[in-house]
Amino acid sequence: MRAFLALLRREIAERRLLLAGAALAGLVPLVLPWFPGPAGLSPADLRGGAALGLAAVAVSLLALGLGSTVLAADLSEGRLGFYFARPLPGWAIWAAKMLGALLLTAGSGALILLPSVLAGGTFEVSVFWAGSALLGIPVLLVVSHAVSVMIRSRSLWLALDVGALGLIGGVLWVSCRVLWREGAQMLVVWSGFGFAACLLVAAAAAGLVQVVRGRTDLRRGHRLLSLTLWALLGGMTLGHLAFVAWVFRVAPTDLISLLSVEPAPAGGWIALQAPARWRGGYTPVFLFNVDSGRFLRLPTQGEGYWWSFPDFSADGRRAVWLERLESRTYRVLALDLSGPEAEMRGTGVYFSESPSSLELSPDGRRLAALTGNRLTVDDLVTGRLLYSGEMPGERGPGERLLFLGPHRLRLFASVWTDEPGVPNVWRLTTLDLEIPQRRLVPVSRIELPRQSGICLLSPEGRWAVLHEWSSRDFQLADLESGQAIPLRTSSDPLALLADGRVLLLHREGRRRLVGLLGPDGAETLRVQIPGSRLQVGGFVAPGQDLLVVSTTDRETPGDDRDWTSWLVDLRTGSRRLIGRGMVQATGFPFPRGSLPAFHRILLRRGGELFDADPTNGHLRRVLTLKSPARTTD
Amino acid sequence: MSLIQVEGLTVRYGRRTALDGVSFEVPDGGVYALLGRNGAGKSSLVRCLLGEQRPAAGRTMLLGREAWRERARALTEVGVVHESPDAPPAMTARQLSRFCAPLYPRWDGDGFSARLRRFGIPENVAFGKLSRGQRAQVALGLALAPEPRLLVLDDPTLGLDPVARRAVFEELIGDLADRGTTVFLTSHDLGGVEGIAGRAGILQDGRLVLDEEIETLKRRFRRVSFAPGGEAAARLAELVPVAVASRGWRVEAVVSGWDDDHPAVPPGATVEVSALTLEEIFLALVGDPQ
Repeated sequence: MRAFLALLRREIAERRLLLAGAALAGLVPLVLPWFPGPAGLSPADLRGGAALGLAAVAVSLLALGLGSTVLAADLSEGRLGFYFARPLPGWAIWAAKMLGALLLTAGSGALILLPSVLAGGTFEVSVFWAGSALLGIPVLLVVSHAVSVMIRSRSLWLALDVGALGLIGGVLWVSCRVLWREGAQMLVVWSGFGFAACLLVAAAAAGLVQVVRGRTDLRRGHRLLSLTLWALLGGMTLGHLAFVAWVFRVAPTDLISLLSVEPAPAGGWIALQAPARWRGGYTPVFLFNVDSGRFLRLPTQGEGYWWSFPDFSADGRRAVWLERLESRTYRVLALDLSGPEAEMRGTGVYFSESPSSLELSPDGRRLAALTGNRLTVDDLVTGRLLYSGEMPGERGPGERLLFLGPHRLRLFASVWTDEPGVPNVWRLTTLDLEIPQRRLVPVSRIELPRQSGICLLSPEGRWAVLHEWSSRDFQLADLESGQAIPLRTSSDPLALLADGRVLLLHREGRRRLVGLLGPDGAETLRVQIPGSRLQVGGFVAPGQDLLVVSTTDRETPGDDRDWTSWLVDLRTGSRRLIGRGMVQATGFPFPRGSLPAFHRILLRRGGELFDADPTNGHLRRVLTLKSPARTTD
Repeated sequence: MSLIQVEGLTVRYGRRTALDGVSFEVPDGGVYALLGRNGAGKSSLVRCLLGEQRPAAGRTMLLGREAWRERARALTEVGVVHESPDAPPAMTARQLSRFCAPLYPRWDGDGFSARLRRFGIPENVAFGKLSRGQRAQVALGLALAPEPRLLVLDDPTLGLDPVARRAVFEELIGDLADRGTTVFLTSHDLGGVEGIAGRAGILQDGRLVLDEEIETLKRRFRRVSFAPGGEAAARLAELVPVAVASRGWRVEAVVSGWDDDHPAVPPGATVEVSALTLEEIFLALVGDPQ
């Protein structure tokens, strides 16, 4: 240790002028505000930014320069023998020289920053960049030493170095690209940090072995350095590949913090998406059968929009899914959910961009898509393109598609007119596309004085709840007659049942009531439910008019323990407690369209998914997540 | 006790064998000179001896320690001067002395300074700015300052002018006289070596072809000049001819195995016998046979 300290002192003393230069350079940002500079920057910002920039450049150059010379230059110029002729252990020579270079580099950076810190400069450095710098400086040092030795030795081992670099770099590039495509972007970032750390360890170990075992022989040192470096990096690359393979062997039981759940309208399949444990934010999408426990992981759609889910057919036996390809096009995959195992196959249907609206026919055979301005209908079984044409009518946000049968597609187009001299109006146009005849038939037109949107849509396409953006008023619209009836509620939650009836929450003083409105807007039932907030499920078992309702007294979201779930009979208004501490997983967190029939999935804090038997309210646990599930409502 | 033991030392560079099973010992207090032409393997041997290079086979022991494995420990009692005196070029002699002092159990800093003063070498001038002779003296001073039991000198006078060479050897002789330091040196300056070395080894093509006390060596080798034919030539042929050359009507040979007590020349024969210097013996052994 005494030898190490002596050499370390010597290394720093020999290059002390670098520190002096850094201290002088640190004064430059102090005087910058006296000169004309970028407008809009305060002196503190200017000082901080300039000091950071100067420090970053200086530290990078010093790390590269010192890393490539402190040992490698002595070795190639035959001066390392001076140290090896003294009672200095090899490790002490390597460690003292590298640590000296590191201290000089970091010290220079600190000396550049110090005057600006004392002068009150503003520094905005994220944890990411601070971590990158902390890791990057030693990585630059040890890697530049390794590269310097490789180049200076001028041996054939350089060919091995280039080959190994290409091989390992290529493998890592491919594996990270796969992670990126699957939406595991954070894993790529963490892989980058991990690999930088591994590179630091490998290059440091290789440099150490080179000095300790290769000693004053440059070529022998190069050989030892290369063998150590590439063996370690090769092992780490294999480890990374194994990790990537493990990441994609994820199962629903590995999920945590459920992000979203979407049950198929019928059958036992649900789609769910959640981050997986120990996988750095990777959030796979699964099809999971609550009856059999079987599952299928879907290829993620690249950007990983967490609200993306398969589009189920009405019978729950088919679904479609978009896979984002390397070429940034989208391939339609058909999912057959009729057997015990979900099967996925390509359909031959591609989109050049992500469709803004996608709709699967009730039998799952046909797919309508709105891509840009083009409306297409494809037969997924035969692969035939049944229709392709411009989206008719005035264009606006919130266009929707809905199959009314295998041969009929209903189109909803809305527009907000904002023309001078003409009263503003929000217009919703409903058209039907007769697919065999390729004919568009106007159905209705609804005009409202304020800008609105389609909030909920009934499965058969007749009823819609419209939401006025500015007033937060709701209207129940009959899309066939073009009539709209104001609803007596001004806030969420509300739900549209499949037959056009509307569920909404009343607040009467301290009482909370669930109201049921008929298609004509008249209230047919009113049920008192304890709790100030309410979440409603869907019909269960058609004809029984049973509804799952979850309520809580908590006004703020986040704590699911206080939720209570009830089974409400919409014919009689009676209610029965079925469980506590659970929220419903229907369209969680955002229901899509009307409440799906046969919805029965409840989610309990602690990460359990339950299936509720609609006839008796019994709960069956179908999936346990790895850690406490965080739910929002 | 031997301070250096070299046993079956073999060094290879790819397919080329630089040292082939070399073995010898240097006893405590002795001065051993390893001689050889360029490329004979001297530098490889010194690197192995100092633990800078791992041999393909065999081992070198330095003060009873295996040089490759225990280099740093062994070197606490060893002073080293490399072929071309090396030190960080920016460091002055004073800084070099301060740097080296804590590395050794003993350090004669005053002696080092005195030595430099004696040779008029400034202590505050960067090592890289000193003349070659001055650098050699600084290197020798650094090697002697820890008062080592063993000095390893790898051709310390290479490239020096005769005055600087003489100064180096004078310093060595002085130190040897004072403390009886054991010395292992390689050198091309055979005249200088002859003055201080007690024993010599000669490397040729990686093999140790000779390892002997210099006095014995000098007694054993003679140059003889005689006319071809006759009884003298027949008697001389019984000796081992190392080198033979024709000089006009006479033959000149360097022979080994000469014995002064029993000369191989009959009395009255016209044979000229003369003693050889170490350099002449070396040339006869490893030089061109003609």
